[in-house]
Amino acid sequence: MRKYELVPIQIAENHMPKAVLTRNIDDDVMIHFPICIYYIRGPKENIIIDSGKIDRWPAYLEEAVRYMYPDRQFKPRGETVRGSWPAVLEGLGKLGLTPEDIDIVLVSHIHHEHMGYVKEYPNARFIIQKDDVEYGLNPLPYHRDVFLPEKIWELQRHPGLEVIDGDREIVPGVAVMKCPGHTPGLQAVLIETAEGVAVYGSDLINMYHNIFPNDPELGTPQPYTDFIPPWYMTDLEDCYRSFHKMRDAGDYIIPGHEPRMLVGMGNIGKIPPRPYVPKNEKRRKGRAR
Amino acid sequence: MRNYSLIPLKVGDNIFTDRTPPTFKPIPVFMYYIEGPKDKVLIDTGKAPVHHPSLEALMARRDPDMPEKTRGTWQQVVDGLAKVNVKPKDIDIVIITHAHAGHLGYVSEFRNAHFVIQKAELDFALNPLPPVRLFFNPDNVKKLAKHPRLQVIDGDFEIVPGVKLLKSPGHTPGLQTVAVETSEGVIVYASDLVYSYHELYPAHDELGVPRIHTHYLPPPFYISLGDLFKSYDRITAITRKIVPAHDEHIVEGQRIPPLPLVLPPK
Repeated sequence: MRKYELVPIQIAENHMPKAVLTRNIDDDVMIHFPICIYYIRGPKENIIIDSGKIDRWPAYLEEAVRYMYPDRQFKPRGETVRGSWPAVLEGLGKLGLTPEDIDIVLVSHIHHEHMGYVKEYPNARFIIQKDDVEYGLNPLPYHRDVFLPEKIWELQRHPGLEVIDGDREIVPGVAVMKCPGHTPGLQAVLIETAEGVAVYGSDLINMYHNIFPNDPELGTPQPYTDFIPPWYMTDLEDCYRSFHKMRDAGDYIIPGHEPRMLVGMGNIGKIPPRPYVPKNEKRRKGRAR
Repeated sequence: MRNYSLIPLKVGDNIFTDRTPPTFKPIPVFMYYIEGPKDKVLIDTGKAPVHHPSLEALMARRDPDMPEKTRGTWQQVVDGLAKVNVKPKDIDIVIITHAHAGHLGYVSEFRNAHFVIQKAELDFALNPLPPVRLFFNPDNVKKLAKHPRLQVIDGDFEIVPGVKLLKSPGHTPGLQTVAVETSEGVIVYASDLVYSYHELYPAHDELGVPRIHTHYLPPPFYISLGDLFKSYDRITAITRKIVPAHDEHIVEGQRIPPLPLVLPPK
């Protein structure tokens, strides 16, 4: 087992009803949650998951959010709901890195807050699923508001672009796994760590409540299911199958926007040595610890 | 072209999560009587008298009275039908648009009716994916599956002359919409494929948060977004005259046509 370390860098923050993360559940709870990129600390290549969030929202989304929260002006806590390149630079800098040092960017999916920067990583290989590129360029109309087509075009011109289809080992100990449902080509990232194989679930698993639905500390208990899908979803059955694929492939799942991982913009976060184990899940044998 | 009418009969209230931002809000629940055909045809059968306990818990969190207020009763169904001078035992055909508890409230109470549902819907409802279990009432689904006069269809089907069932998946795997010939042409009752007029007119700010990026808004619960758009585009290719399932502009007992609300495109 190779020992990689997964280092979250918070590059933005959002403030929304919890029901956006856990579909339809707890719509009356407003939560702050982080938007992170992850550095995979390993022996050789510098690998990051996702590339950051730009300092504006896709126009259609911004319009709707402005309409919904006219008084909030996108500033629940300063400007943190917008992303910024300085936050990425600051975070990478704290790890002694510059964007030029990045060898590989694994794009978990191409929603705007996960692929905000492309040419800023001039030396990187960008690895992304074919279905996500296609969907991002031609989404179902309802989902047009969460993509930045100009970034996808930029990606298509990037010399390091590698479009793949399916599961693939990237370097020994790091692999991507196609997990559709949130978008048609979301890819989870499997990383061999000291605590076992970590699965970065990206936005299919927004927070721990999605995969521990019955834990009252995480949200209103949902005892009838083992999984709460995310709000943004192209297909429920895909979501459900992908969750089980992640659970079976790894020892623990790391969610994309867990509120407990908030550390402030540009800061290095921490994943607990063994990610949060809800009490009522402890006795489950070996899965989804 | 036949001259049928759709008559909305209110059978209770429900709550749903609106989309942008996701918030619970109360909505009316209807069943529809089709006036005109030789057979007495009813679309959906009211709201089940019990909620899934988890749905009940979600509602009670917001408003302790909500579970009680939104529970369906058989009396509401009887009263609704009385408005069109029909007794439950007179109903010949019941079209189940989909098997969610707000649309499949009662089964054996319609003593002489023949039920019609899509195969994909029945199969899914008997064994729903865990995340959406709370929308079904398993007792009603089982009762329906064992019903001696159940007709399970797969695809489009003209159930009586001038009333056509259209398989329209997306919200659930086997939702069927109902195309009815009327004096104003074909009108489609879209069931939960179209929750309210906001789905039809996403850009109109008087109906909700205006969304200009899409010609159709999906309902707040769905199985497949791709199927929703395919189904929606398919019914709108047949007609632009669409009746949504849970809109506040729909008036109980008021014959359709005319359509309850027509807005100019924005």
